[in-house]
Amino acid sequence: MTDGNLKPSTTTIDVVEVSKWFGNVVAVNDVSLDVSPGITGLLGPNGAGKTTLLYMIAGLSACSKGRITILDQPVRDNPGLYRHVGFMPEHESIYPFLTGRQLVETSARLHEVVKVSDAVDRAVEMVGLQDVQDRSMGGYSRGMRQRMRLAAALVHDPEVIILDEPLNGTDPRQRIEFQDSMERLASEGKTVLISSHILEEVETLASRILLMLSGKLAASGDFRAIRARLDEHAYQVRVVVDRPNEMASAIIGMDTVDSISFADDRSLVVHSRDVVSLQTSIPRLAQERGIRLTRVEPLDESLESLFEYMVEG
Amino acid sequence: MGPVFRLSIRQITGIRRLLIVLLLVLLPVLLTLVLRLTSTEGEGNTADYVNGVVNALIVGVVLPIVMISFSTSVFGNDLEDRTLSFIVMTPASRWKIALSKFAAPILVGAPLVVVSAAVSIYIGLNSDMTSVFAVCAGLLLGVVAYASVFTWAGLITTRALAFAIVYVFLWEGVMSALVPGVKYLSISAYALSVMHGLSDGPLEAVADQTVEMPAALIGAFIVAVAFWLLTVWRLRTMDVP
Repeated sequence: MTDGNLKPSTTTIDVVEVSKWFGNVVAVNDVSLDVSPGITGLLGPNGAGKTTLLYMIAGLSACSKGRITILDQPVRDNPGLYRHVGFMPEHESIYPFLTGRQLVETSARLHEVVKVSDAVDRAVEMVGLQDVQDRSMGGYSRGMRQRMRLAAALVHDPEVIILDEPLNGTDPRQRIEFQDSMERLASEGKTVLISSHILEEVETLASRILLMLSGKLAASGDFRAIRARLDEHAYQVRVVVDRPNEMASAIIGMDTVDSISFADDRSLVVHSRDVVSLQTSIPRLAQERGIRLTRVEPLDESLESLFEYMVEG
Repeated sequence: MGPVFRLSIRQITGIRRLLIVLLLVLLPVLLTLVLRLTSTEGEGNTADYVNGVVNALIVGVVLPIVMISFSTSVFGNDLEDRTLSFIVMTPASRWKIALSKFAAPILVGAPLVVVSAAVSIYIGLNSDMTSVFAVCAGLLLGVVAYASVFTWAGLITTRALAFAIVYVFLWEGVMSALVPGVKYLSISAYALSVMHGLSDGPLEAVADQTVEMPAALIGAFIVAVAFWLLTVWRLRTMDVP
């Protein structure tokens, strides 16, 4: 059991050789990692084992092997630790009979917060839902539910914040506000661990990422360094036009294009290391030459292909 | 009242569930009124009433069904809605969470079952207050023991309802009648034994289905405590969905 005076070392979350299996299925395979104060993104495609790992880190699920500590304390069977940990699961678990404010208030009482009303006001304000806090949770939009659940997870001002796919269902404005909130928490010295399967989402949030694939930690470290490794890999983009030959001769002149192949009589596949530049240039080139452009689609920009590349590389 | 207790009370007191339970607890009262208006008084009728309404309907159906309805859903709703992490990822001790979850169905179920039975017995047994108190005491014992077993069942399986129905109707209903020793492991027998032990008047009619009063009290206590401890242990060791 823990008391209220934990002294965190630099590493707040320590995962050592952790595995989790369900029967014959290995969900998490020998993962070791550590997380320090600041924002860390846990990135990986659906089914990579992110949620299973987060549940073990949160102490909700037992490790089949290995050990996990938060603030140097074991996470399993240690309720006192939850004074210092806030967790928001991915699934939209709510009590539909509670109002938003009641949910946050209940969370505050469960976490033995002393000044409940002040803490609730602060948390609700942080997620910007003061105007609708007295409405039933059952009547909220998905994004509002997410934000109110976030308020409930943060109401006791935890030092370690674990959020599983927190941006699901939020709109771009809410994402910016969420990012601001997380950055503010990180600047206060808190540890924020956020999982996502969307690369761009994590790119804007976290400076450090942990990449998971097939239950293993594929890479970890500074986001830009990993991104640079990814950028060495040529992407494939399919371009559908009415005059593929003319389009090919226009594209081949671009510096970022490695090669072009013809898929059929109306489409070509372009190999490039800078897919963003390619996707913005193609419409312009087509317009300049009067070529009718039907579609531009990345063939392997998905996380899965990026991760496969990282693992193979 | 702690937040887990308050949440649990709200979880199990949905309008639809309450309406169904209210209809169920009204059954013995209505049946008693009908019997009272249509039958003549006599020793044989009193014994029939005790066996039919008190034993078969109140103890055999109303008590377990009401407690199944409230107790299995007190954790069952959390598992189904995946809200269990909300209450277990808190500094609250697991024994306190289990105690709150155990107490909620008792607080909601006991008044309904007891008031229904008290009114029925008062009308059905000619205002015999000794029998009224005896039945109420036996039912309270049953409420507590059932609450403990079914709360645990709601935590260990998503099919707690099926488990509870099999326990009540197969174990207590069929097995208890066929194998005499089974009544020592039957909550309904504990309840009947307390009723019989506290009133030797009309409730003598259920004598063959009872065990000794101390055995009933000890048995119910062991069941309530053991299943509450099992609930605590489960909360400490389970993987929360």
